[in-house]
Amino acid sequence: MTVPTYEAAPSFDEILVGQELPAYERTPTKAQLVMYAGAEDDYMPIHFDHQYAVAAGQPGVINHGWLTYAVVLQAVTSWLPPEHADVIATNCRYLRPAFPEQAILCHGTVTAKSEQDGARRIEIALTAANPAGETTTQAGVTLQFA
Amino acid sequence: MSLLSDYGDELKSHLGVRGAAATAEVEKGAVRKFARAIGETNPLYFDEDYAAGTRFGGIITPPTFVAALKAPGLPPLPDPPVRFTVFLHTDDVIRQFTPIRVGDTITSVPELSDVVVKNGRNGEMLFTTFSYTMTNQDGVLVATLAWTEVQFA
Repeated sequence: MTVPTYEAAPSFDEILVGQELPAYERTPTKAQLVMYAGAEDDYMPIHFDHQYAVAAGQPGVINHGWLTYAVVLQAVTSWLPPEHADVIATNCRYLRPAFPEQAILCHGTVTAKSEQDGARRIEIALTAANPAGETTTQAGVTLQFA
Repeated sequence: MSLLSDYGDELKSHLGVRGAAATAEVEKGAVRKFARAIGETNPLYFDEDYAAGTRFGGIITPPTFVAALKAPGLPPLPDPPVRFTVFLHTDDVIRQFTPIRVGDTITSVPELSDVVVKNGRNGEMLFTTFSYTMTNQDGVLVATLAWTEVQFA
């Protein structure tokens, strides 16, 4: 396992409203969907049964929304990890299905910064797009510096 | 009034109704499997020695691990008047008040928290939100999760 160095995380003062996060891209495999199903205990057949997914009108099995949610949050935590800031609130909206073996292209922007009663917080708005450029998922994250 | 909007009104009278609580221990192996499944590489979720040296003092769970802790059952609700053919998960909202740690025992309680009937291009659609409160072994509220789904005929 590669152990990233988290010392490079930006400080609260360095982060600017309007700043874009580093590009983040992951491509879940079908095997990863099976791993996720077991890890979350979610056995909806649309995530592992091709024929079921086709009968439900999809071209094939679709990603768990929660897997995309986790990937989108990694676009944030790979930049500003829990060692430096707590993820205190997140939200995710699933606009269209995403598929295994297709890249999840995450794009994040710092939308707000606040300091109140010693709590230093930033807010980030994110989108995840598929390789065709369609937004599949929108998310928001609030972090509080440790 | 339509069948679905009548049903929506009926469901609204069940707002706040709770389902069965579920209690689970947060196991190290379960956190590792979950972290691996979502493609995490931060040793905070895998390596006890590394995690012990962080401000957390031990392994914590990734932000979306609450999905694995939600109670499996839902509040008891009246049956719908129509057969829904489409079911989509539309939104999730997580609030995390304190880290969830390996070794914690988390109790999750589901509740019906919102009901909305909307007209869309697919006709009438029923949006329902189930909220889960998660408390640890000390009775401390660690997280809430609101899960919204839409169904239509």
